[in-house]
Amino acid sequence: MTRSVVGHLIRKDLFLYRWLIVGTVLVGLCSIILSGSAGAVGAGGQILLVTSVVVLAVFLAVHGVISERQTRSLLFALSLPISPLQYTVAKVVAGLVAFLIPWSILTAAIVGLTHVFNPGAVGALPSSVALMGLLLTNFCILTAIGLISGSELWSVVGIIATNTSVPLFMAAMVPRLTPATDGVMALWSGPIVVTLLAEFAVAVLALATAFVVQSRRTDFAHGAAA
Amino acid sequence: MSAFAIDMRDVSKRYPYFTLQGLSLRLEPGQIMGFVGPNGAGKSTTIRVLMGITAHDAGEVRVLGHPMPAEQARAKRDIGFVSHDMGLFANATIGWHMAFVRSIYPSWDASYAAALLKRFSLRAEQPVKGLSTGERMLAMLLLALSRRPRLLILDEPTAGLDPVARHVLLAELMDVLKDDSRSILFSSHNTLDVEQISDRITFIDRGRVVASEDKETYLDRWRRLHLDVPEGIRLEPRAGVTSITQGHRTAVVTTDAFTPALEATYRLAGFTVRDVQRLTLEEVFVETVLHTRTERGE
Repeated sequence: MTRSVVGHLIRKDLFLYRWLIVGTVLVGLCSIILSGSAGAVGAGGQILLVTSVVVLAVFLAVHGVISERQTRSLLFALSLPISPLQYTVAKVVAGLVAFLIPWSILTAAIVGLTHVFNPGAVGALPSSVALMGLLLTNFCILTAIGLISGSELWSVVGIIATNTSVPLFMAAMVPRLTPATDGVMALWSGPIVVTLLAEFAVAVLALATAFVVQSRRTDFAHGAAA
Repeated sequence: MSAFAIDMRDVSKRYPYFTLQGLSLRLEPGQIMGFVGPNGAGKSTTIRVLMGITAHDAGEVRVLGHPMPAEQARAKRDIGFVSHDMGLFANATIGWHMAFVRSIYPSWDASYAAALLKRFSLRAEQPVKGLSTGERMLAMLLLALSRRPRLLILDEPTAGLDPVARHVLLAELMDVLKDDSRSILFSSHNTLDVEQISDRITFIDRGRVVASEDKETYLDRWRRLHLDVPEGIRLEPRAGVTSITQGHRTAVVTTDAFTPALEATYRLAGFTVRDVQRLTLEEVFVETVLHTRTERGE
C-alpha cells in the first residue's frame, strides 16, 4: 500500500503540473524554432528557451516544495499512510519526471531540429546539450534547497545563484566547449564529457544530500504550533 | 501489542524554547478524549508525535498497536487526521481530493462521502482555493471520516469556525460517536466543544499533562463553596482545596476533592456554607492549570 501511496502522490503532482509541462514544451519548441533564425530573433529564441526551462525549474522546486509547506498541504500529505522520507521520494521523483519530460523533449528537439534545419550549426550542439545539462543540475540544486531548508528565503538565494550560473556558463564555458561552432560535425570532446559528468555528479550530490538530511530530520512540521 | 488506541509513555520532546516532558496518555478503543490546553501548551506537538511527523526524544509511543514513528505508514492506514493547521491542494477541487483519497484507502465509503458532501453544503466541483476556513475544515473532515478510520485525531478542528459551521461539525462528530469502536482524540482550547463530546479529558499545560481522567468523575469532584467567615478568622489551605479567595467576612473555596464531609467540616468550624456550586469544564480547566503552576512554583 505504501508504495502505491507514493505512486499516487507522484501522479497527483504530475496532474497538478500538467499545464506547466505542456506550456513549457510549447514555449520551448517555439523558441527553438525562433533560435534558428538569424540576428535578434535567433538570440531572442535562445533566451526564451533558457528562460522557459529556468521558469519550469523554479516553479517545480519552489511551488512544489515550498508552497506545500506554506499552504499547509504538506500536513495533509503526511497524514496519508507514508513516512516523511517516502513523501520526499515522491516529491523528488514527481519533480524530476515533471522536469525531465519537457527537458528531454526540448533537448531532443534542439538536436533533431538543428540537424534537419540548421546543419551548419551542428558543431554547437555539444555546448547546447551541456547548457541544458546545467539547467537540469540547477533544478536538482533548487529542489534540494527547497527540501532541506523549507525556506522561501533560501530558495530565493538558490534561484539567484543558479540563474547567475547560466550567463556565466554561456560566457565562459560555451566558447571553450565549442571549438568549431560553425562546423557541421558535433565534437564530443574531453572537456564536453567532463562538463556533462560534472553536471550529473553535482545533480546527484544535491539530491543525495537532500535525502540524507531528510532521513536524519526528526521534525517534519516546520513552524508548527506547540 | 498494546490494547490501547493511543498509548504514550513518558514521552519527551525538546525544542529550544519548549519541552514536552514525561507525557503519558492512553486512549481506549471507543473512547473520546478531549485534549485541552492553553495556546502553546503542547497539544499540536503531542499530536504530531502521535502521527509520526515529529520524532520524540524519549519514551514510547504506540498508535493502534504500532510503534511510532517507525510504523507510521501502517498506523496511518487506520487514522483520520484533521488539523486547523492543515491545508488541501489549492489548485484542485473537493471532488478531486475525494477521488485522490478514495484511490488510496480501500475502506473509502462513497455513499457516506456523498451524504457528508450534502450535509456540509459542499460541492464536489468547488476549487479548494475558494473555500472559507469553515468549508475547508468541513472538507477535510469529510475526507477523514469517509475513509472510516479506527482512530480519529482532530487538532483544534473548530478553530476559526463561525458558530454555524462549528455546530455542523460538532453535530457530525456526535453522529460519528455512535460507532463505539472508533476512538477519537479531540484537541481544543475551547472547553465548550470538548465538554459536549468527550467522555475523557486530558489537560496539558507547558508541555506536561496536569490531569487525565473520566470527564464526569473529574467534574463531579470539583465544587466551589461560598462561605460566610466569622470575623478575624483566616482560612488555611488544606488537602483537596485548590484555591481560597477570602474577603472581609466571606470566602470562596474551590476543591477538587469534594465530599459532603468537607462541607460539614466547614460548618463545624463555625463557617456558614451559603452555596455549593458545580464548576463548568472551563472553570475546572483554569483552576487545574493555575493550581498546578502554583504547586510547581511556576
